[in-house]
This record gives sequence, C-alpha cells and structure tokens, in this order.
Amino acid sequence: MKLKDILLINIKKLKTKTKKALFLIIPIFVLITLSVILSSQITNIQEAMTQSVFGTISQKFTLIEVKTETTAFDPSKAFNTTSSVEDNRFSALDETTIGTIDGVVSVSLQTTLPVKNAQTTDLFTDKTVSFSSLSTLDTTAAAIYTTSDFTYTEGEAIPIILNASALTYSYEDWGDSTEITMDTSSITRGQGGVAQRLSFLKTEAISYDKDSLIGTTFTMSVGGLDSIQDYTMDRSSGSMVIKQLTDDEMATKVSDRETAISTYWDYDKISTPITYTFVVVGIVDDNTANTTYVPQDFGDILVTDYVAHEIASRNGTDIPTTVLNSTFTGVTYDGVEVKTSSSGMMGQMAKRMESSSSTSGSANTTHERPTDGGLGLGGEFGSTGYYIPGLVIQVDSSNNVTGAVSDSDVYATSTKYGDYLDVVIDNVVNRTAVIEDINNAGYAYQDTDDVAVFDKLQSTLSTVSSVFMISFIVLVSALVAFTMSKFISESIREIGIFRAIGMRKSSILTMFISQSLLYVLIGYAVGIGLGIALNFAAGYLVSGWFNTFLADTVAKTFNVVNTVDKGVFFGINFTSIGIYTALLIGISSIISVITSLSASKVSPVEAIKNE
Amino acid sequence: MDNILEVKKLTKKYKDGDIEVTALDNVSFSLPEGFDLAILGPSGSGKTTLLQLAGGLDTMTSGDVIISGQSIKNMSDTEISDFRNMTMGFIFQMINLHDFFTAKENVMLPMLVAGVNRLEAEEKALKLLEKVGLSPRANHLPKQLSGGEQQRVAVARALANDPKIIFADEPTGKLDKMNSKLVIDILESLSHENGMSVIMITHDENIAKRFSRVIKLENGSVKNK
Repeated sequence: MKLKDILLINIKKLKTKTKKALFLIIPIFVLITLSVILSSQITNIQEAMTQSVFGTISQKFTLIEVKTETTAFDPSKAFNTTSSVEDNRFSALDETTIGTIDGVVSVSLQTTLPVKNAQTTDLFTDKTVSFSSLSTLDTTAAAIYTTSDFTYTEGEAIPIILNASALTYSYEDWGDSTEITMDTSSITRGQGGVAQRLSFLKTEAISYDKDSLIGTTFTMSVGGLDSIQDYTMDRSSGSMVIKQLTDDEMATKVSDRETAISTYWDYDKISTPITYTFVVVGIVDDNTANTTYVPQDFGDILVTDYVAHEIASRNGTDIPTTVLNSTFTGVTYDGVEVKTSSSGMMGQMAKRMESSSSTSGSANTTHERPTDGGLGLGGEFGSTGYYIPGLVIQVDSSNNVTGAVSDSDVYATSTKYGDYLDVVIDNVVNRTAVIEDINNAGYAYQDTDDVAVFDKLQSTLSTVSSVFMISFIVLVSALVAFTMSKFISESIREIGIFRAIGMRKSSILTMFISQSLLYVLIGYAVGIGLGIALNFAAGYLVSGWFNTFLADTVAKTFNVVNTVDKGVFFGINFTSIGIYTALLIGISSIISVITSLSASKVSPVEAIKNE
Repeated sequence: MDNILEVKKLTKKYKDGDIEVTALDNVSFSLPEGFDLAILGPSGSGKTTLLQLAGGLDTMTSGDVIISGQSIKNMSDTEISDFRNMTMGFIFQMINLHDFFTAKENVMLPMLVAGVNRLEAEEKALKLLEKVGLSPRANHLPKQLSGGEQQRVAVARALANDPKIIFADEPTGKLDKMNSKLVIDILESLSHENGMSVIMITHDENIAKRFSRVIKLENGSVKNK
C-alpha cells in the first residue's frame, strides 16, 4: 500500500476520532509549550544576570585571590628570620601548579615590592596620599579592574591601579595637650594596633569621584627617609604615657640621624626620593590584600632604580657589617630572595608610621614636624635603627650579616615570593568547580556568602533545567507508550479487517507509527506556537520578578541597582527548542515502533473473533 | 474442468488450557471453477474454522489448501496477504466496515491496498456501489446506513479487486428476511456475472439449496460428500 494512502487513512481517523487523538496531542503540546517557556526564561534570566550583575562585576568573579596563612600577623615571628619557604609563601612553582587546573586562564604571584615611603601630593589638594604597599599585577588579572593596557612603556606614564584604602590621610590630633596617658591593661604586647588605637592618630577617608580620578596623571615619590616620630611612648609607670617631643628634641633627632647617615652616604642624595609619573587606570575597593598595583614588568625596574639610588648615594666609605641591620636597616638578601621584615613587629610598626601623612593649615589638628628623619622607634620599642631606602643587606644561611649588596640588579635576579596568587578563570560559572580543584591541590580558599548567592541561583537554574529535561523524556515516553497501546488495543477489530482484505503486516506497522507521529507533530506544532506566544507573557512576569529580586537581594549585597530591560526576557532559546524537538521526535519514533509492533502481530482471525 | 478450490486433509487443532481441541479433522473436498459451495452445520461444527483456513486467515495444523492452482500452505505472511487481496473477497456476519470511512472509501480500500491509483479506485468503487444499489449513499458513513445497506457495501468491497473466490461467513446472520434475500440475490447475480465462486457458511437450509454444492460439517468432519 502506498505511504500516501496510509497517511490519508490516519488523517481520516483523526477527523472522525478526534477526541481520542487529543489524548496524545494535548499532553504533547503542553509539554512542548512548557519546554519553550522554561528553557527560554532560564536563558533569559541568566542573560539578565550577566547584564545586571555579572556585567558589572562578572570580571571580578573571574578572579580568585588565593592567600597564604602567613598574612595573619604572628607575634612569634617578630623580627622574622625564617625563609619564605619555611613561611609557606607562594612562589613561581605555585603559579605552575594552579595553572594546570581546568578553567584557570592565568595565575600570577602578587609580589609586594620592597620599597617604602611611596607617596604623592598630586592627587588631592593639600593632602598627601601614601601607599603602604605596592604590588605587581599581570595584565590578565589587571583586566578585572581596568580596560587599559596594564604594561610599562618607557617614556610614558606608568599605569597604576589605586587601592581605595590608600585614599585616606592621617594626622595627629593632640587637642590642647602635649601629653596623653592611656590605660594599657587591655593591650597585649605584640598585637600591634589590634587591641586599642592610639587615640591621637587619626585617619580619614578622602572623598573622591572614581570617574574623575581615572585618567589622572600624577607624580609619586618612592624612597627618601622615614618621617621621624614626634612623640615618645613610655610604659614604665604601668600605663602608657605618650608625650610630644619639643622642637629642640625633634631637631636633635634629625641632626643625630643626619650625622649617622652622612658617615656612609651623601645625606642629601639618600634623603631625596626617586620619582615616577603614573596614570590612574583603575581603583580597587575590595581586594583583600589592600595593596596598590603596578604593572608586573615595572616591579623589577622600580626596585632596581631604588637600590641603584642607594648605591649611588654611598660616599665610598666601607659600611661595616656591625652597623648593618642595627644602626642602619633596609632589606635583606640571602642569596635567594630579597626580603623585608614586613611580617615582623618592626614591619608592622613601620607600616603604621608610614601611613601617616601630613596636612597643613588645619588649626588644632596638625603639628608640623621635620619630615626628613629616621625611623625613630624610641620609647616602647627602643630601636634606634635608621632605615636607608634601597639598602640591601647580604646575609648568610644563618642570617648573619655579611655586607651591603652593591649590585642594583639583585632584586631582578632574585626569587620572588608572595602571599597572594591572582587566579583568573575563564568563566564565572566555573568558579565553584575551580575553587574545589584549588582546595584539592592543597591551597585553602573559601568564597564568601555573597558569591554563593550567584552560584546558588545558577545551580538552581541548571538543576531546574536538567530536571525538566529528564521529566520531559520520561513523560513523552510514557505518554506515547500508553496512548498508542490504548489506541492499538481499541483497534484490534480494525486491524483484523485490514488484514482480512490483504494489508501486509509492514503496512499495519507503518500505519500505527505514522498515526503516533502525526498526533505528536500536531501537538508539537501547537505547542511551539503557543509556547512562543506565551513566552512573551511569561517574560513580563519574569522581568517583574527579576527586578524585584535584584532590589531585594543582589543590589543590597553588591550595590548594583541597575534594572534589566524587559526585552531581555522576551528572548527565545532556539537551541533548547531544537534539542527538545529532537528528543520528542526521537523518543516518539522509538516508542511508536515498539508499540506498533504488537499491532502488526495481531492475527486477522483473533481480530474478527474479538468482535 | 479446473478446481478453483482444493482442500486436502485439512486439520486444525488448538489448545484450550490443557485440553487439545480438534476444530477440523482431515477435511477434504474440491470445488470446480464457477461453482458455488454452501457449508452447513450446527454451531461448533468447524464451519468458520474451515472458511478461515481456506481463506488463509488462519494457519492449518496439517493438510493443504490450493486456490486457483496455488498452495497457500507454505506461503509467507506477505505472500498470503497479497494473494488474499487479489484473489479473495470476504463478507462477514458482523459486516466489519471501517467506521471512519465512507461507503465509497470502504469499497476503495482493497484497491488501495493493491496499490491502485486513487482516482481509478474511486471510479470503480462508485460503479460497484451502483451495482448494489447504493450510489446515493456513497459518501455516507456506516453509522448512517442500515444493516442491510452496510452489508451491501461489504459485498461491493469484497468484489473490489475482481476476486476469484468470495468467502462469506453467514452474511445474512444479522439481517432481516428482506435484506437477507436482497444480499443473497446480489451475491448470486454478481458471481455469475463475473464467473467467481462463492463459498458461504450458512445454517439456513433454504439458502444452502441455492448453491450448486453443499458440505455438511459435524464435529470438524465432513458428513456428506
């Protein structure tokens, strides 16, 4: 029998037995309608998230900052003499290890540069901004914070990504007195500024406009001598007495320092910082390292210049080892790495001193002091060492001083260690998986709850999508199997008649398979049309829900308040529709064949007897 | 004279639970071309079984059936289906028209199964319906026809491919006297007109008298020769 005639039989049956046909057609069109709406809206929500949230900070979530445990201050490591390997800090080896993880695009060691007294007066009127920490950042990680090219080009302003925490200024507020007494019973020695702040040392944020700041060119000086502390601290009486030095006392301190330094260095030269011109290309306000970033390829240049400046400032007198790391301090070099003692107590105090800047002109709040002094850590801590910018002190394996390094390339050729690894991943949706792999590789990292919000929503959407697809497969299979079995069992007589007049088994098989597929395709066509039409209505509803969701949850967490245009939610996911179409036709075909085989096996005698 | 039908030691046995039932036991007869045959017998005598086996609707346990010189015993299902379509016509007691086809379409069906062009089939179906007096009802569904009219459509359907044999299983069983006579008259005249043989199961002796040959079956065996 011709296929065309078989199909016409099925169409004829459909016209006269429409109610029965609807048992299959309706569920199919409902399933298809749902699949169109669900798959499209899931995609639309993900797109909306990309636009509203990820678009703003998605790049941020492709950065994972892995840090070592040694970033926490450990009092037992004051005046640290252990190597970075012993401290378990990161090195190039860790870059390689993490770089092999799936989904990781780049890994770079965030190296803190061993320089001090980086500051500028150009950014804000009458305010000096100090940068307590300068670190290097590679171009891939820098792309998280800036669209500018983050590389060093000789002769051009050096790109810099400021840390918002540096945009503060510190000053001393003594009020009307020159002496302050503090109850120190709650302070534990060695805990730095944790337990109680020195009440006269104030720090205020400088208000700034991010868009205005970006693109600003400014000059930064690096080096020069430390500010001399203009007060003493005495705990001998059981409480802490903080006393301002008099002008004479300050002048004496300055003079003493100049005398000491002039023994080995040209004082004017060594006290003059080196300067660079930078251009602001980005501002970071939430990284955990609290550091300002310079290009990776500029790091070696800066430190080399820093050290070269010290070497060039020497007056030719040999510097005895007895004064190195005692009277005069700098950084140490053990043949492998150039190291600051930033994890020790001296480093912590040094940082607090550095963060002070001076302002001028404010009555009752500021006290001008000579700023070209040494690191007067007198009083409580008792040290009188003078910090020499760029001084690299050679030490042996037992940390004994062997001399001052005279090679300005010492840093460029040394092994770099760091407390942070900047890991950039290919896609924010892979963040959780990559973090798991990082943890499994032995590096501790845990995301905050804020990030978990997105992961949860993403994974929920994925789960819903997967569950629906599985349900779709199961339901289509069950529907076709059940309804076709029912059609066939109710068609035994009909089959018998066909067989009696000479219709072959193969034609019977074809007839029932095509009947099943005909009903499925009708349901499909209606479902697609209805699904696309209803998708627009669903889009309205979902857009309303989504913007409310943004305002109630995400916007509070991430300060993102952008709403998403309704048009995003009218999108149709044709790829998913294609997948569901293939699934529908594939499953229906297979199930139709299986159930129709039973029809072809019906004996004409049994069929007629069944009457 | 050639035989249109030869039945040779035809036996049909089947299992009813644990019991083996012999529906037909070693039945043999032949029917020359152009002759008609009535099969008489009480209920359960094996009449329907004989008709079903002779028409290739069921499989035989042993024996053979030769129609127009061709043995159907070893034919495959496809071969016997094609043979049945082109060589035989069937009329059933329960009429058995497709309820979703019109009268015309029901008559066209055997021709479409044979691969005949739709227009040709339609033309011939209308001619056949005219012969059975149902031209005006060509586009009616079976539910719109009376029992007698439906059976006349079934007769037209059985004649669609110009068969050599028509097997009729008590075609008047559900009809009243008037329609019964009408159907038998039509069958008789058309078969003589086209030279086809009619094999009919009946329990009505009066109808059986109108046939050139009669077989009486009892308990699956032929009781007369």
